[in-house]
Amino acid sequence: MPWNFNSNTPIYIQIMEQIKFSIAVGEYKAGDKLLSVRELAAEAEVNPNTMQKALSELERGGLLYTQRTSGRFITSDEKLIEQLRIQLAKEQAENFINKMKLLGYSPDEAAEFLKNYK
Amino acid sequence: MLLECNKLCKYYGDKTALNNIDLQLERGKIIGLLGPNGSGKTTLIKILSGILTPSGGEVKISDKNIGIETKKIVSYLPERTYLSDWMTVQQTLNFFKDFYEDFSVETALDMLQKLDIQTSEKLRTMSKGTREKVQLILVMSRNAELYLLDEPIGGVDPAARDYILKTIISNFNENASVIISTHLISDVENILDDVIFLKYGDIVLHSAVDEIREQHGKSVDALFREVFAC
Amino acid sequence: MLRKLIKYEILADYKKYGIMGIAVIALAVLALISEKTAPPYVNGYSNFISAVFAMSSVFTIFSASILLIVLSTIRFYKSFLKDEGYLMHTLPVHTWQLIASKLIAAYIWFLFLLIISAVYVTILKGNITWITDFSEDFIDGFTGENDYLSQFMMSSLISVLLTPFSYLAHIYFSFALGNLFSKNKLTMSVVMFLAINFAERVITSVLLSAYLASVKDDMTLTAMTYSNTLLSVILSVIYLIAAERIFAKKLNLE
Repeated sequence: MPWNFNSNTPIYIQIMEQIKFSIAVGEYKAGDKLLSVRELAAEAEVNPNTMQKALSELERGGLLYTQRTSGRFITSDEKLIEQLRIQLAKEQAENFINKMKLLGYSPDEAAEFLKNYK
Repeated sequence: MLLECNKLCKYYGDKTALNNIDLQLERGKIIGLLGPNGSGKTTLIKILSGILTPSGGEVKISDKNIGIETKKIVSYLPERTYLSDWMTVQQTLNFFKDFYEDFSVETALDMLQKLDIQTSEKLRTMSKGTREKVQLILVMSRNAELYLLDEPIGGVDPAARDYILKTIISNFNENASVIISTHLISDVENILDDVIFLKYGDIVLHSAVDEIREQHGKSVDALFREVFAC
Repeated sequence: MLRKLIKYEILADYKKYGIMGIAVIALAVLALISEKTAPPYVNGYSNFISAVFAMSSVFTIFSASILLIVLSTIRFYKSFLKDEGYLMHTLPVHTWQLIASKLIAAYIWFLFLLIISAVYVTILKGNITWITDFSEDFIDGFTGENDYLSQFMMSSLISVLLTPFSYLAHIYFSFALGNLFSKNKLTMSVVMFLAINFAERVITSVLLSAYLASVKDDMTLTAMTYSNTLLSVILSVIYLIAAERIFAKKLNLE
């Protein structure tokens, strides 16, 4: 997958976000096996320690799990992935509402705008 | 501790290149040694590799004074081409194999093959860029404990830069650390754990990249421009 | 490690010496051919050519020795103090091994040049018997009744064999001293070379005159050659040790 980083937030947080997004949009499917830390790091051109940190964090959240002998996998828990999708959608909605607010739209007006938007 | 410097200094005549440097580095890190030209980056690296003698202070690598024992575990890439041009690539491999116990011919051959560099090729007939890549391959094919890379991406094209960074990432192991000196910060920022800012021979900042981004909300590159603003 | 270092020293320069060897032998063959093919009526011409080539044999051997010193010096400078030094000085080897490998390699080339010179003479003479003649003369010189001659030949032989050693020790020490300066290292090396030369002459003449005064009129040419050689060996060893210490403790590559 293509990696893109901005320069203001820690890389590991950006990696986590990008992997979450890939899972939510189905680019990574439930139960898929991930590349090794080193391979992922080389692909993203980031420090292996940073990649390790991002993956560990995701693992703590339950989105990834490690099988001692065979590597790291995307969770098979479809419910968790659905939750992730909703969470990301919420973030997008919030983002949209906030921006619209700045443009002078109330949340209701923003929703109306969206309804009519083709 | 992999590297320890205590009150390390270096003078050239009456010019100060390093001014009482105190520095500790752990294993398993990629460290950016950053600073404008003349800030002492190369001087520090040359002292660690044993080709410059400090004017004062103490340096220990893996608890050993600089000497034959540290040269066995330090892999150094200078900013210049240091291979004799009469050699073929194969001869450089033999040379490294002869002198460094930790050199892996297989790793080197593998990397050379990926770059389509023939082992029968003479260094003399190669472009400067290719020669630099051969040098990097030799240096990274050692299973060393401390890698010292002096300006490894200075003056290379973006494709070569990517190749070099990938080579560093995929060859480094948790028992070793890599010090990369450069003034092209944005190019290497993402692969660094820690950064050291050198200014007129002083360490003005030694911090984790994540911390810089978390605390300052800006990239190392942006912070660097601030610290070294003229 | 020392053997590996010597191997790479030889590998680095074998082409230059090879070309030199081939050139010397080609010269000899050329001389031989021109002598053999010269028409009899230009006898004078043929004689002239032979004379030129006879002279050139001395000249060739002489210039080969000069070239040996020059090539060894360049090799030392380039691989010790220029870009290649970055590789050599970061190898896990001792400084004395680096210096010794260069000295031994120079002696290997010296031996090579002696052999080439022998081949040269053999070709010019058109036979190999000169070697037996020469060695007979030589052995006679050693074992013969004439004690004075044998002593003199022995002392000359030793002094010839030690010439590259003392020259290179002198040169290495000059580079080591030049390296101690924070700038203009090469210029300072040359200055140091001249300074050492001067100091050495002063010391030699002072010591020799003191010696001469002490032994009065018993001083022979042989004794003088011997004491000169001995002095130069002692100085060379001091130079080498000093150079090794300086490079080991005070190395500063530009």
